[in-house]
Amino acid sequence: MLSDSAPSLRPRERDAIIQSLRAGVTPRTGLQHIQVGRVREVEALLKDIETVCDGGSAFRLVIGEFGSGKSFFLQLVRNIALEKGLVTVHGDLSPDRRLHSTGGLARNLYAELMRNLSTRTKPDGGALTSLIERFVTAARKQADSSGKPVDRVIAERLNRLTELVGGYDFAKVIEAYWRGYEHDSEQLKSDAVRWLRGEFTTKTDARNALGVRTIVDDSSVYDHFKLLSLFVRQAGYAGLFVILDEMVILYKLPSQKARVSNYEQILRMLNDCLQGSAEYIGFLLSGTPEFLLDSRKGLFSYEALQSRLAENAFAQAAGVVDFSGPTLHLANLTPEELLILLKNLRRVFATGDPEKYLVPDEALTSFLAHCSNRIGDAYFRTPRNTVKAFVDLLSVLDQSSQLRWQDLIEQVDVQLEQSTDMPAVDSEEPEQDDGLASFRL
Amino acid sequence: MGESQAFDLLSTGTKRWVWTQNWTELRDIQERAIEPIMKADRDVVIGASTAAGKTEAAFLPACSRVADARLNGIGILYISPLKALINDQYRRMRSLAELVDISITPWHGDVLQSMKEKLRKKPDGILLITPESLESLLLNRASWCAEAFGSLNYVIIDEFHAFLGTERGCQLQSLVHRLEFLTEEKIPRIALSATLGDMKGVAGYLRPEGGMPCEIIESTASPYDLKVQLRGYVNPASPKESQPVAFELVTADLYSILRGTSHLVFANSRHATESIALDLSERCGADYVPNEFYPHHGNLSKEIRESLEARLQQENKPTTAVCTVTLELGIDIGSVDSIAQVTAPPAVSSLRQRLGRSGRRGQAAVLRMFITEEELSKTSHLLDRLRIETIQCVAMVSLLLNKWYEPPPSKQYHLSTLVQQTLSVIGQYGGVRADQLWSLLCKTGPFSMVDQELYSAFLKELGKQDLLTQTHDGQLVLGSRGERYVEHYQFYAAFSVPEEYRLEAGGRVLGSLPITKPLQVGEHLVFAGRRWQVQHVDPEKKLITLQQAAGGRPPRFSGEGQLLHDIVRQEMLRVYKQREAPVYMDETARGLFEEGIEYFHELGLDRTSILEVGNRVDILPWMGDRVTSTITALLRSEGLGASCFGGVIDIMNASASDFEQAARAILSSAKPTAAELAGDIPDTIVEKHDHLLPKPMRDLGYGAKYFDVDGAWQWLSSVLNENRLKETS
Repeated sequence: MLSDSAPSLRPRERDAIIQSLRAGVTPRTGLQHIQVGRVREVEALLKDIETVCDGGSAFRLVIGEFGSGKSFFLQLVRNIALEKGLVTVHGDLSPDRRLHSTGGLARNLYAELMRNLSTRTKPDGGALTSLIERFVTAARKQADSSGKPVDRVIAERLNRLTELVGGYDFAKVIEAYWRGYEHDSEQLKSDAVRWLRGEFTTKTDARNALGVRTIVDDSSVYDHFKLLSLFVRQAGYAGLFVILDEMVILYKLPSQKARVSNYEQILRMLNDCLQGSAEYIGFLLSGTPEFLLDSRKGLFSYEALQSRLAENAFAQAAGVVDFSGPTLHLANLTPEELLILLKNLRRVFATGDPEKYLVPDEALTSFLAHCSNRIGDAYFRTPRNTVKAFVDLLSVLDQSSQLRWQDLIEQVDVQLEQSTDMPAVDSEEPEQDDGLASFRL
Repeated sequence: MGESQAFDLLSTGTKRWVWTQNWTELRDIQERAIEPIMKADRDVVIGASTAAGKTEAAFLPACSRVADARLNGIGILYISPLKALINDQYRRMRSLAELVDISITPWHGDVLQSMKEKLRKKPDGILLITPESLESLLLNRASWCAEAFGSLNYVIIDEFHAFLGTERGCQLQSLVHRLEFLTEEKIPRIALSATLGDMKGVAGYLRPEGGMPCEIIESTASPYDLKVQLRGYVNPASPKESQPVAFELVTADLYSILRGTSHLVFANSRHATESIALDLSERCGADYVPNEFYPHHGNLSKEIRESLEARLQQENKPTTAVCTVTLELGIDIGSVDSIAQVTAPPAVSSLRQRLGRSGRRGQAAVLRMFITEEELSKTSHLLDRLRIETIQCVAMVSLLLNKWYEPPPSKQYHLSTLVQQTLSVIGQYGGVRADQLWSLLCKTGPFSMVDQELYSAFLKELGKQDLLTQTHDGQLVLGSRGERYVEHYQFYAAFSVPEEYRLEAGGRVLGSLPITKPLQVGEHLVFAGRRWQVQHVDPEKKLITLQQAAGGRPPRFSGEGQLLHDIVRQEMLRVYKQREAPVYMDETARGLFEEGIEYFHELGLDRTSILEVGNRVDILPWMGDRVTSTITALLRSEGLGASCFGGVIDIMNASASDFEQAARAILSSAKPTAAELAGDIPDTIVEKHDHLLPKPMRDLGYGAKYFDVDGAWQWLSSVLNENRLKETS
């Protein structure tokens, strides 16, 4: 997994990685080429994935600073999960996509997750239809071999689901899909998929289209995760991994009532996983330290969550990290690891060929020294901007060979990242900063 | 309609509506507004009196354009300060909306949830809303707003004159600015306003940040019908058994004139509203008729006020509300038959606004003023002898007829409203950086008086109060107290009803009084016909401790609760000098008027502004209360025992030369800032969120609002020059 083993690199992967990093977002593919450090964390998540594959459940909360690589880590885990045969759904929370609401915002989150449903063959989302197709194909095969009619087989396979909340209608929708398949009715098939994606907004529409009495609404989002986890098993996958990023949005909700009801949903997941009442399902959530630790607005403001998520006191006393607890604090990259990261990036640029390295080793160290001068310790606490600046530098060198890296490094503008939820206010002339940009209360 | 070229620009549906109204022609402003509004590349201010068809002038072209464009989302956002007006406009504009086939939705606290829900599901057409409800939408449904207002064509603001210079106006500016920021679009704003002298100033207030030209369309039609009457009453100096006091005469007249129809009566304090309403309802009881007189002031519970407002909306029940002068913005009442003033109005603008509520349905606006003056005796105060209240009424009516109007005060900080807007923006987005907040609200927004340094100190203060906290990565998010603040429905209003002060002397409560002028410890105050010295002011409890003061009889009318503008006092001086009695006075009022004028000339006040009365000096600058208060504060800082009542500064134990000496000393030293002067005022908590800010920060806003150092400087130097000239000649 690490760069020492030097996996081969395709040019297409190279371009995709560079493009993503320059935009400051996590690359979808080729993560193994740049990933450094966080070995223990990855191991912990590997264990979780195995647990899910074995019919268990897992819950992890990844906590790290803004820009520390949470999303990268989540993407990495997602790739591993897909490799291991799990189905993943992933999405960012936003003020309009929450775990709980009364105005359709939780359904928005569900719909987003369903759009991003991925499998190993379709790692970039949009795999819901092929998941259902696969289920239907499996059912048909079984029907062929056992001589039973297909709808009987489907009913039997979905029998387990009907025991759960909302399972009866879920099964009916899958059956409707099969009917559409059988009678060549695209309408029926797409209605079924739309229902599963949470796109029906009224029960009347759903009843007219599919003959079911319920829809996926705000209150049933979590129940549908559980149904889906059983369904993917029936389609031949190992289980379901639910990955939720930007949980800090909940911390910022302006209403305490709304926040607490969202935290209640987290407690529900956590309880189901810890008590073993959920099967073949894993939850991976990520947020900033405030989201977890703030005793007035964070998860720790909720008594029941605090006691379950608090760090292992014995491990703390012993000065070690407990990687088996539900909370995973992303360790900072060490300066050494960051150096390896830069080496990996240099390697990506050269498409794996040491002959084509754009800069020598000494350029890497002087780049890090430059960053350290500019923004202090922050450069290894939040690697995103360091990486972005370095990729920009390499891109310039890549395009014009007559430039010397020695001249460029001093010009590299690494800035502390400014995080905000508000779009930039455009002003005609740049304002000289009277201290508001670096404002601290 | 044949000749009207502009009419042809309108859409078919809109034209059809005009025909169904059986109009033979468009009114002047309606005709002229069509083109500039339909171009949609500029702001438009439409100035006309009530019932001149302003609403249609804005809606006809706006609806035409929106109907033609057929965009998704809300096309016209109409903002009104009054719920009653929204209901009214909804009734009137519904048929137009139907004909051009767009939806129209009223939106305020009393609108049915089902109507709101419909708009939430499918934002469309015209939205009629109050600033408070818009605040709530932006805060709680930011992403819905981004979508719903994404293709907004116009923002129409009704009763725009009511917003000028107020906290609510500042909130409105900020809301519309935030809306434009959200939709990344400059949206033409259309302001509907009463005709005011300075329409350019109004245009500037509509878009303080600039960036779009503004066209002013003023009605050339004859000014609206106004019927004014000034009734005088004399309070006997030593009442005898048989002789009724003026109060009874006033209530008797109010009862006989007002009973049977709906009116607003304005008195100057809570106590006065209560006693007048009580007296009137007792009269109803004595006559065995149902009571229709109710008090309306800030101390009454919201339920009582709202039920009274609701009663006033029902046109079948005659109802009269007796209100305090300070409660301008708190009254949500549509229209009434007439306005009665039991005391001089505090400003021409508020008089204008009140008249706007009277005579809506095409009838003349009616204003009756019931002014009581004291019967003169040997000890009567200068102001009583000058019949100052009567003259003030005359001056204000004269300004009103000349369409003069207090301009929106410039250079206000509005820090209280900035608290609200800061919290609201943070709540809207979740986490925001300090520099962005400043750029949005101060640099490009309406709080342009606030620089980065001040804003940084301001945010720190909010942080200290747990209204804000900051995440590790520097974003500001709401603190737990800030959250509770924002969640409460009262958060949406930027203004609060000003509180009256409780007055206490020797442990005994004397009563309560609205005070809007800067009051220092040691200054004199008039209450219940007596002169008191301020011992202590408790800003939190709004409590003033008093001690009886010597210094002769105080004036009956001391102008508490008012903040008169320079021009009003100048106009009063002009009235005195010109001696022309207006026709709208009754016999008693005319007698009082003449008495005042006589006395003015007797004292030679047309030539001098300094009077020595025994061991006291009275200074009459004939300037507004900001200048007068500033001069008083400056004189006090020179050690003189100065106080001011109703525009007159009286200095105890001093002579004219003491005053001149002090004036010279003031002018030769460095000019203080307004905030420094406010430093000596114990209570500078005036606006809703002021109590959250530390005193030095409050003083900035307070000083800018209540003091006019330049004006005081100018007056003092001119008075010294005059005296020097007199001496030399």
